[in-house]
Amino acid sequence: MGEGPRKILHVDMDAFYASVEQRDDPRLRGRPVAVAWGGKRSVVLTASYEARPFGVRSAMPLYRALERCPGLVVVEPRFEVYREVSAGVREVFRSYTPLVEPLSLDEAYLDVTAPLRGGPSATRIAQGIRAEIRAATGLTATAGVSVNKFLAKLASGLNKPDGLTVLLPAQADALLASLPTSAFHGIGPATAAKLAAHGIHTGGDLRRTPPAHLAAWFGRVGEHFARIAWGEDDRPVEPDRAPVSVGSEATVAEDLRGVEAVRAALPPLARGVEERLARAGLAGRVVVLKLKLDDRSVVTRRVTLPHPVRDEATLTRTAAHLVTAELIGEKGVRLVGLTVSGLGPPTEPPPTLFGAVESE
Amino acid sequence: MRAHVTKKILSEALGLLERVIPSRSSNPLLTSLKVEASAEGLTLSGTNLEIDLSCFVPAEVQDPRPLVVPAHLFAQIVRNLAGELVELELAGHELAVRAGGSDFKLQIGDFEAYPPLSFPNHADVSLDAAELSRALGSVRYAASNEAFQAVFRGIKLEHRAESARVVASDGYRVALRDFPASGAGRSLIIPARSADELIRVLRDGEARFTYGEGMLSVTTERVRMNLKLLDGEFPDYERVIPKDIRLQVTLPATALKEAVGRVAVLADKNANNRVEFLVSEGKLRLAAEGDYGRAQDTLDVVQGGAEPAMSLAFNARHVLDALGPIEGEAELLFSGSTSPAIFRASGGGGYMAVMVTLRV
Repeated sequence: MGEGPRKILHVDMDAFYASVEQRDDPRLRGRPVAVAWGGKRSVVLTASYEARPFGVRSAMPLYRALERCPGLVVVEPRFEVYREVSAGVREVFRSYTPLVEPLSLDEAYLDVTAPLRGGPSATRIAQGIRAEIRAATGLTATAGVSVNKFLAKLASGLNKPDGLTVLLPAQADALLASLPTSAFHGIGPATAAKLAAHGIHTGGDLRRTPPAHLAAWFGRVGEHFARIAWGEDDRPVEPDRAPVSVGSEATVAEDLRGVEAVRAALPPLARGVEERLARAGLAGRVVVLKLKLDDRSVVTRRVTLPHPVRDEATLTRTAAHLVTAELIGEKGVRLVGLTVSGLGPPTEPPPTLFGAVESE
Repeated sequence: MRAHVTKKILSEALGLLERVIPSRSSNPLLTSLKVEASAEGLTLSGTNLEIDLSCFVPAEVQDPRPLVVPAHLFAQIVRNLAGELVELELAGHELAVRAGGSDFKLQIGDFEAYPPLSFPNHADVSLDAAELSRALGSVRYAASNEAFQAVFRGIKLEHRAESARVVASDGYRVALRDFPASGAGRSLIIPARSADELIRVLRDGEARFTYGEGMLSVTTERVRMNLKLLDGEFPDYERVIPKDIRLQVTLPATALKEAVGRVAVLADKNANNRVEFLVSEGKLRLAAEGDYGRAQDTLDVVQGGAEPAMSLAFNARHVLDALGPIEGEAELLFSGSTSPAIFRASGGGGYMAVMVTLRV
């Protein structure tokens, strides 16, 4: 790292999927919109800002969202469109810096300590990025500006939607002391509950806890908690972080019963996985099947293949072999997942002995 | 019942059974071990529904009565005992296990509920146990633990007029070994994982075979086993054994193993661990190349055959596996750069490996 503080941005598209839908269909504008698949067990992927006052949140079961907001307009997701828009947004990012770490289709960290253009002011760059995103996509984005990833993310969360917040370490200091632990990025509900059990409810409490205790309770991530309580975070912005695995899973509307029904759910998952592997230029040797059963238990089965694969047919066939009557028994299957790990560049499969001779 | 038994012998038998009896099962009874007593000793048996195994342990027994006990706990207790002699005594619902100053009371299970295990009393054919064990052990590596073609997870046993042959393949290589045998035996496919257990129990003396419906029973002096067989058609492996040998190389197996092991350090893991073999003018030159560099090694060989030189490529792992069972001089038989190659011991011995060549 060079001298002086870094300049880090966190840019988050506002209610991304819902905003794209409202942009493309004028009838949805100004109305509470939820993007979700149809079906009984569906969850809200994104809620528009009009739906949020009703208490509709992402990851909420759709039926509950409809209870809270009877006028909610439910729209099916169109991922190909979101990906296209997201690619446009990333182009804007990359015109300012090669150091872009996408977190998802609608969120990214940028290191603009040494920007390609836009001058030395990170605030100016954030303004420029927001304006260019709006011009290119017609959508609004919220940006947080600070000296590290943790504070930049905290900053963008302070003023949503369509906001720009600069959070300097001196300002962050007081804010963090009173901030509830559950509002720290990286501390989920389970961790927050565990911290509460130790009497730790705020950033101030965290600061008073010896880091060694946090490390003992949570391992290495505990040390990270001790640092972020002071607003410290030296994690670099990692462009193109290589994925460890690529997977896809689907909750089904009606419990699947029997091996054949579960196998029939695999091809669309395999198609999605192939698409994402192909886009990343990867293939993998380990195929993992995950099933959630009607007693809420989760079972996984994996197989390591002699060479990396990624095509839909092979993935489907491989995962289908892992679905056995023994595995599911009499139980219904609620969720089917297919993941490929052991990722690397695709390679030519070795010639087979019997195949090779047959083809001669 | 009261029995006195040598700790070493009891431990050995429990060690074999422990590998077969599951430590967890949806049917908890299967985690138990059956003990049947007679005036001569104790017969310990268990099953995982693929393999039934029964071991005889000579003991001094009074008032013989059968019982079942939790297998893994019993084995653990016996293993940890001090002293050389173990005393077992059944009293009520507890089995006392005593040795030295130790006294354990282990709760027994429901003997009546345990599935009956029956082993045949006659033999259809008899093989030399040591030969069979050695033959299975030398081809085991070629069988697949993962392949979806069920027959590749098995070892084929063929009976011929004056010999028997074991064959294993994973589709990329074939390993086979002939050994002397007489009698009218049948051809069958033993699951490789069951063969692992068979190899472990076979020592000296005879292995008596009894054929059942989808089942092979093997009886030795100490042990009786029922093995569930694999269904299916083993591929016609004889077809892939090259007949037209154009170049032949002889060299010490150890020298080749070491040299391949050396150059394989730099072989490309993503390209099937490719190692190139270049034979000419009494030299074998090995070469490997990966992302981090390249390696070469040259060995003196005795060269024969019509072709003056040949260049081939193999998976280094396959080469090392194939050389494993070869002691002394190894003989490599090549019929062309794209044809499968044969590795065997110079001067016979019944073992042969056939493997694919990678594309040059």
